[in-house]
Amino acid sequence: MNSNRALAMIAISAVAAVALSALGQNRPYDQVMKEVGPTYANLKKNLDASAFPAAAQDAAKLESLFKETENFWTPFKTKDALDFAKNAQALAQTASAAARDNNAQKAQGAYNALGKACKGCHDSHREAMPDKSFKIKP
Amino acid sequence: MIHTIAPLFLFLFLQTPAPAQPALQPELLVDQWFIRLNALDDWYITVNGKEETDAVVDKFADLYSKDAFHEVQPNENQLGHVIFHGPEGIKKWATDFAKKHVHLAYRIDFMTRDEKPTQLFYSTKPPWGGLAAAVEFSAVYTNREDRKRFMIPGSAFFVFDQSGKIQRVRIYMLNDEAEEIEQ
Repeated sequence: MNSNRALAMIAISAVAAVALSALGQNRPYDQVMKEVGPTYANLKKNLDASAFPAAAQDAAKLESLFKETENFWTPFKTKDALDFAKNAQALAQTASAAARDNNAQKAQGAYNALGKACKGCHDSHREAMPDKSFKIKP
Repeated sequence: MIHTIAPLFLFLFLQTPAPAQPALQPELLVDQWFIRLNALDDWYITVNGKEETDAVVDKFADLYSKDAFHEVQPNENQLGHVIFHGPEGIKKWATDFAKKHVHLAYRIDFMTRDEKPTQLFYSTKPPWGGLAAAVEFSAVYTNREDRKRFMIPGSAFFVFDQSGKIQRVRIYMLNDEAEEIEQ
């Protein structure tokens, strides 16, 4: 039952990502980023609890969020940001597939690498403001 | 008595010279241009993807007089000497420049003789007033798109009006001497 629900969620996420791309409509970037953090934390929690269907669902959601991230950067042709976003999608896909295969070690490895991709992009393109908000650097 | 002194005061008042304008200092004027040029990377993208360059571009363009010329080398969009004229032309150049580069670090070169380093500002006073100045510099920047970083030697020749606004700047970049910086 859980597997079916996870697969359904993955399918919905994929359809949503494709639809957003096709329509060329990007959500505001902060909305996307604010979803990444909790989803990433959930992925860790579910991997630690060996709740693999839920972990696969989190990873699939991350993949679609990083597709939106790529869409944001595409018009600017900013190579490092695009590379980080594409790499993050690939890692999220790996984590999702590994979780579906109940391969905790592989999923955990992809999870860790995903964190490094996030940090790399933040170091280059995120600037903290004195009021603790963030701005996007070119 | 008052009839005798009043014309004298009036005469003295009329003879008083107008307060002299402070002398133009080439170091300060040229330095300010480099500061505002380097600030052209100090802008952000909004969450909706808008590139907000206007503030830094306006501040840069403020250094120029209304009929100023900004002259640069050819680029991928145009062959030969490229001239930007007036506030709109200069803002166009500055906007394109700001959107194309990040991590700007243009700096006036130092020369050292007898263990004494200094930045040389070559200056002269044109016959029409104001000031002319020139410097050698190193252009250090990162391409925004491919994130490659370069250092290119260059020189800039400025003509300032009496108020210190730029009337003309001509920039020469030695692209044949460009070096990519390993990061």
